Amino acid sequence: MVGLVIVSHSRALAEALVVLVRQVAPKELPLAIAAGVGQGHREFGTDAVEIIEAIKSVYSPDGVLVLMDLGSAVLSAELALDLLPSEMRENIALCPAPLVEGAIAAGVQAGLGSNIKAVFWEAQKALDPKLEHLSGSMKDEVLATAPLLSSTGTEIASTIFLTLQNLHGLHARPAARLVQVATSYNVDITVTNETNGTGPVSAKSLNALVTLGGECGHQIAITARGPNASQALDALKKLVLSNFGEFSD
Amino acid sequence: MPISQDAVLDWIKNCAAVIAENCAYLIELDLAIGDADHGANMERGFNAILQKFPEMTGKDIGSIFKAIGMTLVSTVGGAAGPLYGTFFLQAGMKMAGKQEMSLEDWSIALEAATNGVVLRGKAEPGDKTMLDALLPAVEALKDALRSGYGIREALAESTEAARQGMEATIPLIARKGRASYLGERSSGHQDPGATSSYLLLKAAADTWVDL
Repeated sequence: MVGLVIVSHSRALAEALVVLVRQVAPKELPLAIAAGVGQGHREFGTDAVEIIEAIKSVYSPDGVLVLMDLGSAVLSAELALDLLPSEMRENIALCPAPLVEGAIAAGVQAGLGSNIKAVFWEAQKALDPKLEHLSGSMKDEVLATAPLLSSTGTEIASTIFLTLQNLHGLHARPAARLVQVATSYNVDITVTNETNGTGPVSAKSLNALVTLGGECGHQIAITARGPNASQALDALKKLVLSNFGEFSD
Repeated sequence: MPISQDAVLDWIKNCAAVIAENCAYLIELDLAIGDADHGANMERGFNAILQKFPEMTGKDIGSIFKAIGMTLVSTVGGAAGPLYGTFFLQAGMKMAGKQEMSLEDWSIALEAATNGVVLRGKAEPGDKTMLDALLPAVEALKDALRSGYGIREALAESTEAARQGMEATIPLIARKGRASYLGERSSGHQDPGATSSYLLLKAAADTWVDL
């Protein structure tokens, strides 16, 4: 089972988060914290040596996912990784997911026996439910620029929400146009039908898009993840807003 | 005259004293553009190092630097922990087994230490960080060596470069660390990390001035 390590400046925050995670994960889930410094860990801060010990305490060949709050917690975790033997390092992932949401998503997934890639992926998507739920009360402009991941490098995910206005929705020809535009960008793009709850499916597969059953009036969410995510989304937004170039509608 | 193990330990003892003297000042700088704990964090770290002196006495300079690095990592708490920790760990790797350092050795150690900070923190010159004091100090020391300066002049040049770099952080807008959350409001304040770096390098120059 993949082990989890929670790294936080605050001991209290980390301990409370463990309680939350334990509510959704089986007791076999290996879970450790590295949080706080000084006497009784009462000062805010992180310690790479404590992180190393936490990782070792939950380590198995299934690997360890490390979640951090911010700033120096990330630096300390990276230093910890540098100080661990390379055989262990291969099986340890520092995950840029948000701490609370990510820990809970990771706890559930790891508890199901998933491999570390799946646990990492689920943690990364952990903001999706909140974003989706609040999307009705958020203005379109804010939604269009809401990043789902805080950047530690090039991986920024953004989601836009659009309504299908063309008469035939996401049937074969519009779907083919979407695939055409999507495949011209070297980014991960998925589409979800928010109205009937299908997806996410790859925006680069015609067959997959058609399974969404997108009708006129349905709301779809397009998520792009990668260095040119915003350009891809702009192009796709233009396509949908132009009714996929279907003038007869 | 080379820098002996005892001279290195003297430097560190002086660092602890300088940090303690400037603790409130470093906190004040960090209050303006950070989370107000840089002075306290550094003091905690250097006090812990002082406790390690019995273990460090008699060890080679590389081991001394490594012990300092690991102590800072575990006790400082904020970003200065992994950053100064990496600084000393990298210096330690270069000075492994050495019982004394020449001026050239110190230049090599300082450069390796600073490169470690670059790789760890991923900051660039002008981001308003400790690197804005360290990078000029490294270059000035290398220039001084190339020009054939003795230890006193070389360290004076290096320290002066660090001081100017530290003061040059005042108008900068922070792009790393807590200060970066303040954006333009971080301008007009001297960076606490650049300040502590300058203080540590000045302590080295003051300690080794008569070598």
